[in-house]
Amino acid sequence: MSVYDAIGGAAAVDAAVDIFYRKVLVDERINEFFDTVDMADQHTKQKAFLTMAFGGPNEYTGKDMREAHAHMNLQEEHFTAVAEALVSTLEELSVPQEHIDSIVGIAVSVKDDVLNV
Amino acid sequence: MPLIKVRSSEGEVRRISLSQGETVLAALLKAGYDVPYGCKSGVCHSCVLKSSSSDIPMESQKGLRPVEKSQGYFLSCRCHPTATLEINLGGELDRYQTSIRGLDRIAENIWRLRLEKSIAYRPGQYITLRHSSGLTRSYSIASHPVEDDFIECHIRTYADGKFSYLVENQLAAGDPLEILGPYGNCVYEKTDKHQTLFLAGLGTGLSPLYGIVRDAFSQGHLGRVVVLIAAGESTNLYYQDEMRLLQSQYPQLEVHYSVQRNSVTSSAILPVSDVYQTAAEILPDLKGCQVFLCGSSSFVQRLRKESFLRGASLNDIRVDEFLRAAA
Repeated sequence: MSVYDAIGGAAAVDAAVDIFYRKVLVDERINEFFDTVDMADQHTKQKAFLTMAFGGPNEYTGKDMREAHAHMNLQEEHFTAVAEALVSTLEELSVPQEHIDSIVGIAVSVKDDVLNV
Repeated sequence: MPLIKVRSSEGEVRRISLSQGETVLAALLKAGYDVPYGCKSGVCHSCVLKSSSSDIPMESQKGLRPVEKSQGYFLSCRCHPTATLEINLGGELDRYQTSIRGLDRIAENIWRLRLEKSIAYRPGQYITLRHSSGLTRSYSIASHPVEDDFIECHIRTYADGKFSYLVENQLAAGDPLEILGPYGNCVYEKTDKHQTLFLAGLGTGLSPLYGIVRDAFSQGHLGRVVVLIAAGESTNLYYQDEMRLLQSQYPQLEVHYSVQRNSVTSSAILPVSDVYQTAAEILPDLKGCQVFLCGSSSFVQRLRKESFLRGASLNDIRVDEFLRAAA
């Protein structure tokens, strides 16, 4: 069973997305990337990100990840801030530590593509 | 370079190539076609056209009803085709003929327009009105489809506004108007009748709220209903008697006011306050609440973000965002 299924699939993403979005919106290190006029569009993007991070069905490729983030000039600290928001969201939802570890593993696996290094 | 193939109602076909970043509407207007348009922002739906192509850009169908999408309708002001797009002129959306029942001024710069009822709608939705001169504007609906036998809109007038000029000087009872719509999803959802509702409107943002509140009560809503009515000038507050009457019928209704300035001509002096701060004070925690925000873009966008940060789920925040008419 994948982590995605183990934590509840699409319902887990729905439970996590508002919590995660609030965290990144108030984090001074990264909120400029998330504070857009079209909140519904941003919400959709974050659902797609969480689905991917939870190991759920997604169509992302390394090339997509690079292109989507290329113009943002992202640094290590930005990646760290998003990872922290992700972990504290999962902790708030009482996701068991072993699953949090697997999810962090998936996030770290796309780090180089996101930072375009 | 993307291309559009324009088929007239007589069957004649003309090819027009689009320049970089150009919309279908802009290209058609440049080529001399008399396409009706209003907001150029995808809201009023005046510029809707029909295409027989299978790859209509998704962005240009945002906000249309499923049946309209499946029939090939799209918003030409939001359409940047990537492949050749075939357009069939003469296939406009259905317009409904109606006429004015009454028109009167209810605040310094706000008029109440009542139309003969001609369409089905839900309180909180909006319609686009088209005058015989071709001028179009979108307004939210303030009436209730069962309680009222007319359609009511509240019109904020501006010194340089074209529709404002019509309202203040020309339109009268009996005049014909065309309706497009209704559109929008800023409507009450009866998911939990004990839920708290928070509704905030700036200026004529009160108009959809007045319908939504009555819709909630007529569907048996029992939870707290908190309404915040804001205006720049106290002379543009209106419907205070109507709100008081609703409060006497429904004790769970709370009404708060916030104005930026008290006008010297105003009979009642209201507390001057910052609307965002007032909103935070009357309902600091919005967890589990259904939220409705109506008014200008800046007002709606700021309160949406603040409501979300105060705990409302993004799916429970509905907005009716007013845009000024395009030049």
